[in-house]
Amino acid sequence: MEEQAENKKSESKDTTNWKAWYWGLMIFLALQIAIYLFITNLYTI
Amino acid sequence: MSLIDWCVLLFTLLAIVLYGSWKTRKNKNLESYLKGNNSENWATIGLSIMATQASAITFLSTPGQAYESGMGFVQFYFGLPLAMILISIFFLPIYYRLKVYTAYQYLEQRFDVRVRAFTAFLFLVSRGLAAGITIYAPAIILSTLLDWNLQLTCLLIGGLVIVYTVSGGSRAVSLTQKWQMTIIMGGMFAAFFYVLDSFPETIGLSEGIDIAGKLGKMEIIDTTFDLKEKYTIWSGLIAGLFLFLSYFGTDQSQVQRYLGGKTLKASRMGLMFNGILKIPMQFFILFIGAMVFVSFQFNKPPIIFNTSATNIETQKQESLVLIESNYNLVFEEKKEALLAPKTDTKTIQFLQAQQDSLRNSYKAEMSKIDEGYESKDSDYIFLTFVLNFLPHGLIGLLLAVIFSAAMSSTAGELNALASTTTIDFYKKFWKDSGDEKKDLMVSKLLTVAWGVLAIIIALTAGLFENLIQLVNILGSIFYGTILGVFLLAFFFKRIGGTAAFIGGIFGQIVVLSCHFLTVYEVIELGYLLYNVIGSLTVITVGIIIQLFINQKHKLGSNN
Repeated sequence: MEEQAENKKSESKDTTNWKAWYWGLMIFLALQIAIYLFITNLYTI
Repeated sequence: MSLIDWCVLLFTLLAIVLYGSWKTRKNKNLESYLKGNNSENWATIGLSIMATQASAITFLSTPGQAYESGMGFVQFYFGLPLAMILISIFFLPIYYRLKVYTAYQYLEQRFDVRVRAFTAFLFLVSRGLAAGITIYAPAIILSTLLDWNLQLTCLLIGGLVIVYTVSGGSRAVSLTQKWQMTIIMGGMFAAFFYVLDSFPETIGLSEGIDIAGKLGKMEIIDTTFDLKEKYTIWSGLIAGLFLFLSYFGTDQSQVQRYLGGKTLKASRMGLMFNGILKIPMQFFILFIGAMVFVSFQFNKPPIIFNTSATNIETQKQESLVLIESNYNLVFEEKKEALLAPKTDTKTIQFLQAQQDSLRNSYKAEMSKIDEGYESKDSDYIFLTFVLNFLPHGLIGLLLAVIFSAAMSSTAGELNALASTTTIDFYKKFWKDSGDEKKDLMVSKLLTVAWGVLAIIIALTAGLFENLIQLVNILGSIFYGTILGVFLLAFFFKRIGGTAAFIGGIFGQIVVLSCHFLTVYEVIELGYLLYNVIGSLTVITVGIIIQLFINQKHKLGSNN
C-alpha cells in the first residue's frame, strides 16, 4: 500500500504535458507521411 | 579484411563487452539483475528499445530491400508512434503501479495463473526460436562473403553476448545497447558519406535522388487497399499498430527495457524517443540502399551478389558467361546515358528493365545448374558495397556495426527469456525459496541455458531451409493472441480469467489456421494481418464466453 501511494505521489509530481507530447508525435507522423507522399508523387513512373 | 579492420572490429566488440561487465559487476540481488534497480534515464531506455528491435539483419537486409524494390518498406513502421502513445497511456502506468518484473505477472493479478502461464509460454516459444535466428542470419552472410567459419561466427556472437548478459543482467544489456546503438548509427552515417563519395564528380546528392526516383526507388507510399500487399500505408497504420502494440507492450524483451527506468516519466520519455526516431532511422537506412543503387549505376555491380554462396564455376558455364557479357554491355550503355547532359527518362528506364531481366535470367540459369542455389541475394548487396568501396578501418567498423546489432538484440532476448522463465515459471510453479542469492544464481544459469540453446539453434539453422522465413512470421503468429489477451485485460473490465483463457486458445487456433491456409495457397493474406485477426478473435470469443458464463450464473442463481 505504501509503495502504491509512493508511486501515485511521484506520478502526480510529474508536470510533463503528456497530451502535448502525444499530439506532437502524431503531427510529426502525419508530417512524415505527407513528405513521403510528396516524394512518391514526384517520382511516380 | 586487413589487420586494421580486425583491430577495429575486435577492439570495438571487446570494449563494449568489458564495459558492460565491469559497470554492472556489483549486481547482488534479483531486482538489480532483472530490472537494473530502476536506474536508467530516458536516453538509455530509448536507445536500448531501439537496439533490441534492430537486429543485424536490419542493417544487412534493409538497404538491399531499397536497392531491389524501393523504399516502400518504411510504411511498415507507421503504426509504431501510435503504439508508443497507447503503451505510454495505458500499459506503462499499470506495470509501474504493480511493480511487475514481467508483463505476464500482471495477467495473473487481472485474470488467473492459467492466462499468465499461457501467454508467457507463447512468448518463450516465439522468442526462444527467434534468438537463435538473430545469431544465425548475420553469421551466414558474414561467413559467406568473408569466407569465415560459420560455426565459429555463431559461437563468437553468442559467446560474447552470454558473457555480459550473465554477469550484468538487465543493466548490462541496457548500458551496452546504448554504446552499440551509438556505434551502429556512427557507422551507418560514415557508410552513407562513402556511398555519396563513390558517385562520379558530376553527380551529387540531388542528382542521385533524381536518378533513384526515375528508376522507381523513391516510391515510398502505396495507397492501394489490398490485403495481399505486404507494405501499404493501410497495412502499416492498422496492422502495424497491432503488431507494435503487441511487440512493445507485451513482449518481455521490450517491456524489460522500459521497466528499468528511474521513474515512470523516464520510461515514457524513452518510448517517445523511440516513437520520434524509429521512422526517420528506417528511412535513412533505406535511403542508404537507394544511394547504393545509384552508386552501382556508375560502378559496375556483380550480376549477382551471392556468388560465394554457390560452388558453381560461373566462368566455365557458357550460358552464364553470355548473359553476363550482355549485362555488362547494357550497364555501360546505361552509364553513358545517365552521364550524358540530356537523356530521355524512358531510355534509362528501358535499359534498367533490360539489366534487371538479364539479372533474373542469370539467377534462373544458376538455379537450373545448382538446385540448391538461393536466388534471393538482396541481403548481400550492402555488405558487398562495404567490402569493395569503404576504406580499411571503416570496413572493420561496419562489421562491428553488424556484430553489435546482432549482439544487442540477442542480449535483450536472452535477458527477457531468463526473466520470464525465472519469474513466471521457476518462482511461480517450482520453488520460491525467498533466498535472493539462490534466485539470482538460477536466473544467471537460465540466461546461460537460453544462450546455449540460441547457439545450438543457430548452429543447426542451416538444416532447415525455410527457418528464417518461418521465424520472421513466427512473431506475427503469436503476437496477435498475446495482444488480444492484454487488450481484454486493459479495456474489458468484466471479462474473467476463463473467458480470456478460452479466447486466447481460440485466437491462437484461428491464427494458425489462417497461416496454414496461406501456406497452402487456399487464401492470400499478408502475415501482418495475423496480428489483427488474432487480437480481434481473442476479444470476440472472450466476450461471447463471458456472456455465456454470466447467463449460466444468472440461471443458476434463479434456480
